[in-house]
Amino acid sequence: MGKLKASEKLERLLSMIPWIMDNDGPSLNSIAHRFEYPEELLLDDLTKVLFMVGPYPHTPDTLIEVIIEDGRVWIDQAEWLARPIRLTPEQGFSLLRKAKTLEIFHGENTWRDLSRAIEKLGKALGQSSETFEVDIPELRNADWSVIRHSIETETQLTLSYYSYSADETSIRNVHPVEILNRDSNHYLYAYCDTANDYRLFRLDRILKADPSSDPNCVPKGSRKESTDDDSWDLGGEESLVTIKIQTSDSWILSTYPIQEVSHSEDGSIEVKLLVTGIAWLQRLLIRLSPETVILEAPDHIPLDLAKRTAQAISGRYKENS
Amino acid sequence: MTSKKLERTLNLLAELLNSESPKSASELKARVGMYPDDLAAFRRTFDRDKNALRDMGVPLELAPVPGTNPPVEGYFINKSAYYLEELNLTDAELSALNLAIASVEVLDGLTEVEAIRKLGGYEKSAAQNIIKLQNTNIDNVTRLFESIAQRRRISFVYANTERDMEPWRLEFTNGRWYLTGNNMPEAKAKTFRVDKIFELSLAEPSENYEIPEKPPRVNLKPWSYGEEATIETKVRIDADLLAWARTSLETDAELESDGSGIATVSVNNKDAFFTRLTLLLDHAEIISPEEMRNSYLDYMSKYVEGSNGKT
Repeated sequence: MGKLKASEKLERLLSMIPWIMDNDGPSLNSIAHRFEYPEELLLDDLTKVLFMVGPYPHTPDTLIEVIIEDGRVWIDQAEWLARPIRLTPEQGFSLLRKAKTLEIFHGENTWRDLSRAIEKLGKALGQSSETFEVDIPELRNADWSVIRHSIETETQLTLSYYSYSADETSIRNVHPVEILNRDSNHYLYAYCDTANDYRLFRLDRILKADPSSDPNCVPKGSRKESTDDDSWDLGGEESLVTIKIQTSDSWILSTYPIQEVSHSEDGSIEVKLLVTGIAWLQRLLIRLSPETVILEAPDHIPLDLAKRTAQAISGRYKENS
Repeated sequence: MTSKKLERTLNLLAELLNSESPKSASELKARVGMYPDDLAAFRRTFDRDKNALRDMGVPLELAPVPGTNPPVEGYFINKSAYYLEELNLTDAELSALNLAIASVEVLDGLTEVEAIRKLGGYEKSAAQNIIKLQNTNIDNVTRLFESIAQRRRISFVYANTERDMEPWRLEFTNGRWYLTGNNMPEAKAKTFRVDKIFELSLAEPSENYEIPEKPPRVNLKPWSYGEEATIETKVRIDADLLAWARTSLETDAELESDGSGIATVSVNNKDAFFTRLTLLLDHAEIISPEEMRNSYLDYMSKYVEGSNGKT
């Protein structure tokens, strides 16, 4: 006979009794399955425990009546247990959050049963779409439905993907696994044929997703759980670059992977940064003060990178003036 | 032993749910009829049973027993706080909720299995995890969820400042939870990042504040905060960056025949807008108004002339 702790039995019985009362004689088997209560134990507890429960004076007319016939169960004289206990805030929050997340995944108002369940649940929890909302803007990507379909059907995808750090677009054949988040961004986690490894693809950098009917062919056993060490981008090699920043830009110390920091007497700060691509550094430099100086960098990174970047941007305006 | 304990706890619950007024511990002992006679043993057993009920979310409260002098504390369950509101979920709706808990994994230690059992049963699904999210500050988020549901005012510390608020809206967007509410005492709508909220406390439940029909949404566009007059700015964005720009600038773009897009952005803070626009490097260009083009070129000129222009 399977085992349940007394607290587990109590929790399950208080949830199942309303359901049994609400359904005309459900089978023992279906109750056991639905409420994860081993069938033999359930029979025992219904007939030997629940049968003895009721308010004072515990006379037959106050005790719960349990009728079991042909494997079906009826419960009577338990009006005080005809409805379950309210959800705790944690339970309500967690369930509503997941339901809303799945709704976004499928596209709002495309799955009527889920939308109606969310509405009913929200109302019972004192919430509405005006007081509690979950949004993942990246899932409004034009090709999101293609990506979703490939995850659900476990089929391959061809991605046109923009690399932030390399400032270039590449075509990648991938085997999607799941959607996940890191910090404030959402990614497609997939096996990439080009990299021969698992990679994270930021959803808002997927320019186009073309479906394929080819099934994912990464053996299940080789599936790797994503870790924080997974490559977040498909940029070039990592380089160490030393820059001198102003105090007003010290926010970068807690934002980026810094290798070394030293403070100068004039108030400036020398920072040794790990750079994954030249475009990434370009963007950083023109967000920092114009007084920022590159002190040391590998040969492929010019020391006047910020100037060149600003010139390239300004150049576009001159062409079209 | 386990069956005995279960029967006793259920009988205690039966007494409490069938009582109209608080009942003392000794009265409950007599009515349940399953507790030990020894006083110390009774107290231990009774405490365990009360804790078992409270752990499950049973709102077991203390109040004076009517007609006692000196007053005796008694136990009662507020029925309206105990019973789950009738949801009338269809089988298909319950299945959809079951699929949600099977498909979405959130790494925060919360579980929905007990909740779904209360709603009519848990279906162990073969559905794969398709979304896996990390979540932090879950304690604050669930307490804010509770405060909104019960219209409870809150106080907290944010950026070293103590705040009092009537919470209106809890919103997850761009990977973070945000709280919007009526910031007291100035009675002005404000939004706060939940992960930066500390020392959160909830006032006692009260019904004396209302949530507006349409509380404001989170505004994550720093360029829209500012005293400057709004400048409707049109930006051409190259095709490769269009998807990213759509999320980053939170605006849709009208597609051009060459695949690029024209986005219109309402700007009230030029510096904040330019900082965001630089992320697009030379893949974007302000096309109007002329004033914004020139301001952006002035902004860029500081870098052309900057000290990091040394070679």
